[in-house]
Amino acid sequence: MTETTGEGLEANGVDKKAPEKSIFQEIKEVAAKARGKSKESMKGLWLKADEKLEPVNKKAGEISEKTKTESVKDYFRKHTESFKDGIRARSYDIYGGLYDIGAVVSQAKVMFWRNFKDGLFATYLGENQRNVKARKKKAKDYYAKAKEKAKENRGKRDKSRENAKEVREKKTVAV
Amino acid sequence: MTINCMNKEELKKYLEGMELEEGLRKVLFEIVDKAEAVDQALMNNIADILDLQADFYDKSADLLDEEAEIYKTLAEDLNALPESPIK
Repeated sequence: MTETTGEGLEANGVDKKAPEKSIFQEIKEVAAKARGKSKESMKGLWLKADEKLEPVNKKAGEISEKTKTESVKDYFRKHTESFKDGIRARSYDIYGGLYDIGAVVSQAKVMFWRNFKDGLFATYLGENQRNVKARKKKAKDYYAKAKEKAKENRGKRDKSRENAKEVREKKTVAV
Repeated sequence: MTINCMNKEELKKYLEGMELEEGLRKVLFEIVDKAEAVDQALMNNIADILDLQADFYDKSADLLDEEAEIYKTLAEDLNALPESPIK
């Protein structure tokens, strides 16, 4: 499709002022940049999660062998996989929405050039605005939740460390 | 050989009083049941598992902080989107 300025439309009796085409481009570019950056960051985080949590599973495997109890290995495997699944699910959720922003803008653009007079254009723009707002809100909500969960997990870490110390220091009596 | 002042049932009761996740408590009980005696080796194994749980929470907290930063950046990037394509 060939893009034109709004002048032609006005000349054809369309009395609305045409949006500047650069705005469409700007939205698409910003959305694509945010999407690309998020994708890279998320991929990096998934890899880091694998790297950071694998030693936990390795150690759990060693304890399982020592205690002849498969459930140690199974428990930590389940725990770490569920944590990683959570990260992936949240990032797919956010990422999918970023595609919507780009797609809706493309639709709005098509509607504008093909059918400027009817209400579809405004509908698409409204939908895009809602999408952007929803993604921003979700990103902020996920930020707050992740920070809160990190704090909670540090509390659990300290408690667990304390329990381990107490158990380790329990005296046994030699006979 | 060493023995603890506690027998297996007492040790389980002691673990019951600890703030633990239910799944982990089950794992620890299984280890106690399978152990030959309540000795230092058993206590060390339990402590190792609790330390490992602490390691998991430590690493997961770091990952969650990193995840939070990604969302923060994304929210900032989305703020750069024009409010409306119509000026």
